[in-house]
Amino acid sequence: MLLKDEEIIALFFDRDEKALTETARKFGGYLKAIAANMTDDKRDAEECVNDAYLAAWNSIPPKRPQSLKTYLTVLLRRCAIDVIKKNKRARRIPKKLFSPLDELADVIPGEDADSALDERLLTDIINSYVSSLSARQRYIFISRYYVNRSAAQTAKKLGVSKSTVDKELVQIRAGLKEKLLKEGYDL
Amino acid sequence: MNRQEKKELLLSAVSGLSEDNISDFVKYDDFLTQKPGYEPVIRPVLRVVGAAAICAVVLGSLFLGLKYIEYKSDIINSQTTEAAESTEEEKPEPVSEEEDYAHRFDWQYEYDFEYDSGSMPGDYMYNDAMVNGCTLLLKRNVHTGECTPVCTVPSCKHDSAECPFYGTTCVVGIGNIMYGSMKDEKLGKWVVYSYDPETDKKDIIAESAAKIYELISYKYYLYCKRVDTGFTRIDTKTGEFTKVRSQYDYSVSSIHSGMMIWSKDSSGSPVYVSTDLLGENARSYDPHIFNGKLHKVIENADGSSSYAQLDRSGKIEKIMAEDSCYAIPIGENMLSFGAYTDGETHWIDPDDHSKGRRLANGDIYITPLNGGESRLLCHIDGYEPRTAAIACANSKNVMICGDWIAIMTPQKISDNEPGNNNRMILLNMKTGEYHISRYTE
Repeated sequence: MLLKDEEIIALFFDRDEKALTETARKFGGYLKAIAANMTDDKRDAEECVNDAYLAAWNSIPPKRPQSLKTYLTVLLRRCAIDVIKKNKRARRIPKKLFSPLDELADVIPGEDADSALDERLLTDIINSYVSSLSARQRYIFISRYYVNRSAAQTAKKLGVSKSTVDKELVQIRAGLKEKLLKEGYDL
Repeated sequence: MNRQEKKELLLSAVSGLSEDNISDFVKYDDFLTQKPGYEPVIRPVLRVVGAAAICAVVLGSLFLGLKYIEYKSDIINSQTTEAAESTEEEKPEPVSEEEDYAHRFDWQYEYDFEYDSGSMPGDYMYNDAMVNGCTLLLKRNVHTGECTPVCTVPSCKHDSAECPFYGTTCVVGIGNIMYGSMKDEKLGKWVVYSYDPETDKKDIIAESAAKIYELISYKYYLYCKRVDTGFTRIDTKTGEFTKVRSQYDYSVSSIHSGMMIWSKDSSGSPVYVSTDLLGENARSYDPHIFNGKLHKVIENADGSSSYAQLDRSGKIEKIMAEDSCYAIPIGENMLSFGAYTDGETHWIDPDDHSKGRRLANGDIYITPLNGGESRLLCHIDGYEPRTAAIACANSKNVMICGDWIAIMTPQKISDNEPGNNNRMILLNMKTGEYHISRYTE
């Protein structure tokens, strides 16, 4: 039987290593699937998942996440970025994590240095934009650009066709473009 | 900035999405994992009728060329099917944060004190509790505090699937019958069962492929929450199953007065909405209005809190409990918990101040919600209630038996109790008598 989130968190707080096995039992499949979307290599995916477990172990306590699954998703993304940085240094740049961003790259300002966005500002704008989306659109955006699911995977989850998701992604990107324009960035 | 640089910028920027947004995604993801509905355990005749209905749906759908049969075909009960089609989440409007209280009465509902509709008559309360890594189904004698397993199988250790109640995750009472949910290892499914303590008879009333992790009773209705599809209501008189519309991002905090009360935590302060008993017609709700008066915990100038009754304009009419840490409605009364007033800082955990200040001094007051005077009900030395601890007895009709209520005690969880639902205080709301109740092997 799978433990409840609060029971697993209690194990983390008790520094009981069973916390990790229970976390893996409950969320392992989900995390491995996401990690596989983010990396090109099975070993990298496993490394990301293990790093996420370790990061959870090191941060709980004092952190007491409200949703363990959410927290692990965030940790996994961070770990994936770290793995990418490591691979980049080794000139082994993973394509999977970048391919969805190809679609997004068109909405941010171009070569004009004056309109270049810094990372923090862009994060704030994207955050604000994603918060303003409907629950469904937010789900589609994060599904595609944060956990790197393909449009087909997202469509399957939603029970709609891939073309429907593609159309919605076009609308979402158009909305982000508009938001950036409103913020004063000419494209 | 070239394209690769843009993508690297986006990689970092998207990674900085807030936890709130990711949390929404995760919840929606869980919500979408809804496939099979409940499979009620029904009589063979009904099963045949149900199967025929499915065939009709399948054939009809094939005829129309629909491709989504898979999603709905395993839902036997026709009413469940109908409702399942309309489970698109509803995003209700939250309660206004304005400090003008008058508007709150526009949609006021009277609390009708049906709090004990789910309790069972007799001398026992029932709950599932984690003991030494195993979930046990326990009963507690309210007069003595004695806590024993519900299982009556001789020499059963209650630590394997051999125990008829092994793995029970939630339990409620309706009339003389207790209802629980557990994973049935033989069926390989989650089941909802009924159990008659008098006859020791246990029957499976519903099966589910996905985990059932919440049961709430209201009158003769049993609300079962599956991890994927949300709530289904079972009419225990007729056996009828009806899907309840989900309120996206909200969970049910109680069912009373003909309403389902849903809440979500919004930056530390819960937001409530009410719906009808099938999750429809969502509207704002304030759970703090009793007998036409708004009740609220107010901050005093010295940093302490008091429990006050306010009029429609928000003006304080009466302080009902001074220096109160927590105040919770239970039936026709409000329980409030006194605070230390000795000027010292009392930490919840003296070795870990991050857990916050210890606030309650062990005094428990009771205040009639009809405007009567507060009185000291009892003093439980060393007991500091916390919000989660109180919820047990309060709204979900789980741990109430006559004048007795149960409150979880989160203290001393360091003695290897992973959960805190084993140790309970059984408290008589009339006499103030109490027992500390916990199961020890």
